[in-house]
Amino acid sequence: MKIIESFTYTPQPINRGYTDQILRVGLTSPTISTSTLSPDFKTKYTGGRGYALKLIWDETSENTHYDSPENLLVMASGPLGNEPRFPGSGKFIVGTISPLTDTFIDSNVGGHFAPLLKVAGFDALAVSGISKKDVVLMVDADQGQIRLIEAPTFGDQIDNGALSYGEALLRHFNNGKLSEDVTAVSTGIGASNTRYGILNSLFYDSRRKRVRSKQAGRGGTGTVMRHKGLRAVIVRSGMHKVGGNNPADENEVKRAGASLKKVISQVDPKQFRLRSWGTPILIEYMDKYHILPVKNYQYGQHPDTKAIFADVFFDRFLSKKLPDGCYKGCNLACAKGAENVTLRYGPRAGTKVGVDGPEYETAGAVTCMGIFDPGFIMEYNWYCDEYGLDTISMGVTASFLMECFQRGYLSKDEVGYELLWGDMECASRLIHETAIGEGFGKICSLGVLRAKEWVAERYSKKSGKPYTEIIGELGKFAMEVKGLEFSMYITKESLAQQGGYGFALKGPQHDEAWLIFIDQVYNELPTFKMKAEALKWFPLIRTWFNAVGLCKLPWIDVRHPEAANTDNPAKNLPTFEYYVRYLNATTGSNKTLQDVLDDSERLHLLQKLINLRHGKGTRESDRIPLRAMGPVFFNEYETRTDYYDRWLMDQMGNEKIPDDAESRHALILKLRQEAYDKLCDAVYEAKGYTKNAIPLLETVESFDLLDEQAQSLLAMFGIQRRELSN
Amino acid sequence: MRVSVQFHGVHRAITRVNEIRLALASNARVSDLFKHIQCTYPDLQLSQDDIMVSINDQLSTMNHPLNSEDKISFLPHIGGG
Repeated sequence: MKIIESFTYTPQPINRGYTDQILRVGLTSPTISTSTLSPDFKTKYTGGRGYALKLIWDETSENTHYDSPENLLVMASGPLGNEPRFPGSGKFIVGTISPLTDTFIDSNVGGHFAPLLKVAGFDALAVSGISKKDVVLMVDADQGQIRLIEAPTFGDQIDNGALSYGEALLRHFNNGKLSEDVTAVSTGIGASNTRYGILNSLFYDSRRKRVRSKQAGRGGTGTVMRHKGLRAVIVRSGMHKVGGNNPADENEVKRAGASLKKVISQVDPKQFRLRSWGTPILIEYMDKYHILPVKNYQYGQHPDTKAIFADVFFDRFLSKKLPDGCYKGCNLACAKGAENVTLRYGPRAGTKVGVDGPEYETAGAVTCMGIFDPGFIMEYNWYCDEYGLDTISMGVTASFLMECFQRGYLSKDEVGYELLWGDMECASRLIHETAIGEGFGKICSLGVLRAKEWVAERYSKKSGKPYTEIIGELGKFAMEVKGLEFSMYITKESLAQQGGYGFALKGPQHDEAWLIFIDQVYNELPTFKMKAEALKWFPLIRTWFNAVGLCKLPWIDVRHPEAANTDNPAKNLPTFEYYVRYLNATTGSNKTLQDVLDDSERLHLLQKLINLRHGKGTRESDRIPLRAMGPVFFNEYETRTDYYDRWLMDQMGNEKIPDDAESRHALILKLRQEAYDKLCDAVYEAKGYTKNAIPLLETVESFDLLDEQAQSLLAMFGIQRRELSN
Repeated sequence: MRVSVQFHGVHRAITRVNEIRLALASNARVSDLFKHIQCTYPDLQLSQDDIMVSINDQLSTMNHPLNSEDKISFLPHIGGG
């Protein structure tokens, strides 16, 4: 073991959810240090996503890209993480400048890493610089040692795998044994070769007797980590976790946690059975309402979807008698796992593996390629985790390229083989080529935005048509916004969810606003004003979960029985009251729901400022592909003619409907684009922005964010103090 | 008149059927059907507060009159991952 840098420390005790310490690691000229946070810092930025945002706002610039040495990779929990008596307390945020969006990305992930990092003395880890050699960071709280170590090697197969390498390290640094007191984050070869590399959060599951994993999947956080030369971070601490936050009111923490656990145990078995089935339960409902992505979001329903319903995974793959979950004490326990799944394709065909998943997003990424085989979903899940690839971005990019092939923009000669819908051999080949950076995988590794540009340039030369014309055509079905691939919902029939994706600061990921059922199915947001209010409220609440270190599923996916008696049942406020109680009991504060929303709005605005700084903050950046708004091509319209004609009649009245189908199709698209524009106006007004999506000075000032950098930035967009007096 | 009730997710797992056909009085409303399902499948533990009514994939209400060949589902509240 070659130690590159070493640092001796005494772990700071946790007080009311915080250690007030950040571990700082510089990789260029290796340094390890700690910094103490001021009380003002935690008051204003809460934790998790807030800490990542503030550090990146202060320490990077508009010239910082994902591969810049000064880019920070921040991993941070929050004051409410690390409490097994409250469900879902194992979450942390990974924040950085993304290789896909070229602006701030945050991705939340569960597991034991954040709780152990906190008991090891740190609210956050911030890594800067680029190491000349691959290194591993070891935080050993039991020995009071933090070390940067030259990355050990175990042979190519293990070294290239995020799961395999992480497990090898967990044993290597713990005398050959796996233990719940040692955890890791790791990356794989796919993170080296793509822009959508993930970071795996690994923990030992004593029930399954194996290492399990959760993923910070979105936006290429693993790519940044790998580019920095950081292969993994290991944390070891044997300190107690229950009560480890040293809360202000121990009994109230217990009571709030018990109340939430009671609702989960009463409601989940008859509502979703997330505890048994995990999130794949959503697939069935998505298919019923035409929102399951099929063939690159062309269609939302397929006759074969029943082959991948949740009960199929449960019966065929999941280990039924084992309680799961990604952190201790969560009785929702939705992180499912399967043992002894035999791989059928790729370099490891014939091998039996343990699979952590699938989540419904992974299944949706596979149906996006036109595949409805549950076994393939399981192995796609495993390969992506092992390579360190985001299942969503991988599937959506592959699907986009398949549609390019379908529509003649790509040929067999260019790809090397036929990119066909529903072809598992072909999809498998593309995944493996992408991960190892070979063949056509090099194009797929770029993500949709950059792959679109590559295809447009090539097709323009081939066809003699102008590049701008081609890129415009491809842009209709290239499912990305701000450079991030869409997550797994078809938004064509939900204007609110179109906004949920378009306005999401990180790009189209549903963890900012998930309104599709509320809007499309339940029709609870019939007006622009109601949609705009929801598009402000839900992202703020969801941001709060990412700041405090909690999972949001026990709130949003388990409807409290008393919610039906409230003004807005979808907000599930009776459950959210438990969260506010837990917050106050831990930190000693006396906050209300409105205080929580205000704390979140500050973080949301700060992220907006970073987006503006990086050229992703204006109205133009919130534009969504035409396919996200409606049936962009005639074949999509044709599959639901009755539905679309009825929709048109509702909008226009019978007498105004054009006679021919082509004109009706064109009119639908025109109306959808006008509606989205109108939604932009309503949402920007609700958020205190200009029509160009720039925050007003008074909005920024009211959240105490108007520092020198913010003033200069806003001035570049014509927002200056004199506006207040006008 | 005859209508269909479709079972999804947990409901399908409990009833072990995808869909049932029922004969109802010509003036039946969703609430009549709901009571019938509650009695026939007590293990569903159906409560009006816990579900949304869908008729032919359109959201509806307990008071809505049913028509022959309607397809009805009782959906859980889906909040989103």
